[in-house]
Amino acid sequence: MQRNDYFEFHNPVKILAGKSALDALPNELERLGSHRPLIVADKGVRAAGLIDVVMKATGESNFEPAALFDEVPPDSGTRTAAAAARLYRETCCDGIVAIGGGSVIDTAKAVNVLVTKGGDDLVAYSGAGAITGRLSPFIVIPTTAGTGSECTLVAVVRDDDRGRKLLFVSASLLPDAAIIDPRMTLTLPPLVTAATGMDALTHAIEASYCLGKNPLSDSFAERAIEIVARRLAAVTRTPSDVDGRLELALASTMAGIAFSNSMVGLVHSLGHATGAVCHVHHGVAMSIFLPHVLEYNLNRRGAEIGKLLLPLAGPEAYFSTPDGKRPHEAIARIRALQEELAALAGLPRRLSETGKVKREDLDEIARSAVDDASLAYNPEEADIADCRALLEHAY
Amino acid sequence: MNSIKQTSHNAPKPRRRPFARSYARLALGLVGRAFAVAQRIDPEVRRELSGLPRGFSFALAVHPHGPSICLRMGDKGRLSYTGPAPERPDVLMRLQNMSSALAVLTFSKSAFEVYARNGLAVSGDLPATMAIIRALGLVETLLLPRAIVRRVLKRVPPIPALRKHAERLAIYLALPFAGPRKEHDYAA
Ligand SMILES: [Fe+2]
Repeated sequence: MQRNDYFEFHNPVKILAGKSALDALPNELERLGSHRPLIVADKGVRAAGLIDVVMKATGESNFEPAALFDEVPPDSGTRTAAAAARLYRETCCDGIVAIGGGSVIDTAKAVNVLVTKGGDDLVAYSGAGAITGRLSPFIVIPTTAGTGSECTLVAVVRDDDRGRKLLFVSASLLPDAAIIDPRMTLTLPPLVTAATGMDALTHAIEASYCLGKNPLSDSFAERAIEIVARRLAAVTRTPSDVDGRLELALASTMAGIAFSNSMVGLVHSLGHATGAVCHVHHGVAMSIFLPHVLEYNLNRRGAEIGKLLLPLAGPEAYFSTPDGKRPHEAIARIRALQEELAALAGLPRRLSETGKVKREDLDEIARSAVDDASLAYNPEEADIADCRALLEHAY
Repeated sequence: MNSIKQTSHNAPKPRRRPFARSYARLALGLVGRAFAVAQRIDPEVRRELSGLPRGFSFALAVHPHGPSICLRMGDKGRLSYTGPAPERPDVLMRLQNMSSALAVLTFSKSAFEVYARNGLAVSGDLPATMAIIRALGLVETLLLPRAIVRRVLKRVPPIPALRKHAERLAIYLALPFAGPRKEHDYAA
């Protein structure tokens, strides 16, 4: 296939990062003209005391949200979004602050569509490019370092009436600002730190060799890979490492910027399908499939995968490895990181280790994976039989 | 819109590419007809599209104001080419400008590459879209020489040579009779 020289790169999200970044929230809301924001969060965020952390950091500025919606479930859907939108309208809010992980951020994106465009039927806005124009003021404070959703134009929300996933893709969904403060990820348990970190690594790696790759997304991806490779195991071992937490959170954001502009491939097709059929955690699935899919793509993208060795292992290891061995060495480094995280946090290395996937499920996962849109961006073709073989390898 | 004719001072006028436009219309028309015929004679194309509900329509269009085609699943599970795209098809694949359209329709670039670089936008149900794209790959394999298919697809689907050539001949022979059919042709 020929290369296309045209590309687009879009990241209008203002990023506020640092150990006291939260303190800037009131100023940002003022800049955006929001005086009565709705906070969208979930019970876990609240129980972990993260809303208190935000209120404490902004207390001096008299930051006063108009309402709190903390009922976002892990696999959030259209009914949750409609309920939050109702609260927004009843309390006359004029902006949204999302505090949470992927599910909270995606739900908040959907809420923003409803409160700006009106109604409570999200289905009408699903698909690519169905949402246009500016939405309401929207700030995201991520509490995991992995999804990168604070900088992506995508939202995935369950259609609660029909039981399927709705995908929304539109530049309008991008938040106005993202606040990256290590205080929000300090309390993450080791397993979640490891799994979400591997999700960020997968975003950056898939962004750097899939069909949508471009010079700008490449530079964000490369830096993100370098940080995750250097920091993830250390932070998993020492959760209170504030500098490491901040760097990992930034890496996740950079990986989000990269894949929002170049999209992801087969690792995500398999991961989405495994999540849908067997409810395996997204980051865990990413970690399991990543090395297998890299091997699968070697024929088409050997050179690009070889280049990953530089951010994964550093310049010395890179230059002392002969050209032809770099792709395999890069994959070996990812496997080594996996082993380390398995020892430190019990991160599963195979589908069988998750305790959720039975061999009988593999056929259904394979069938569902080929219908996942991210497969279109993968360099190598994969049909049901190929996916089945990959799943068998990863079992 | 207001009805007053706006005047412009020394503003450049759009410069159309009439040849490109005619070619795009012709090529799209051929794709539309071939798709409908292939669904009838090739079991794999039929299998890929078997999940689409009756009445399901999908369209391919050159955006904005360019030519378009639409295919619709009839009541007997038979696919028909119905002419230009209606207002809201179930799946709409939009080639974002004439350059992207020509790259795809002259088979000089892969639709995947063009899609990945924002040259092709898709709206509607995504699993259905993936099935349509797989079917389109089969149709291209049936229609085009292997050298071209290798350029536009990630992998050439393994269709036995004899069957491929027989079906290719059948498709080309049937093209002149393959539509476009009006909506009322297959009303229930
Ligand atoms: Fe992911």
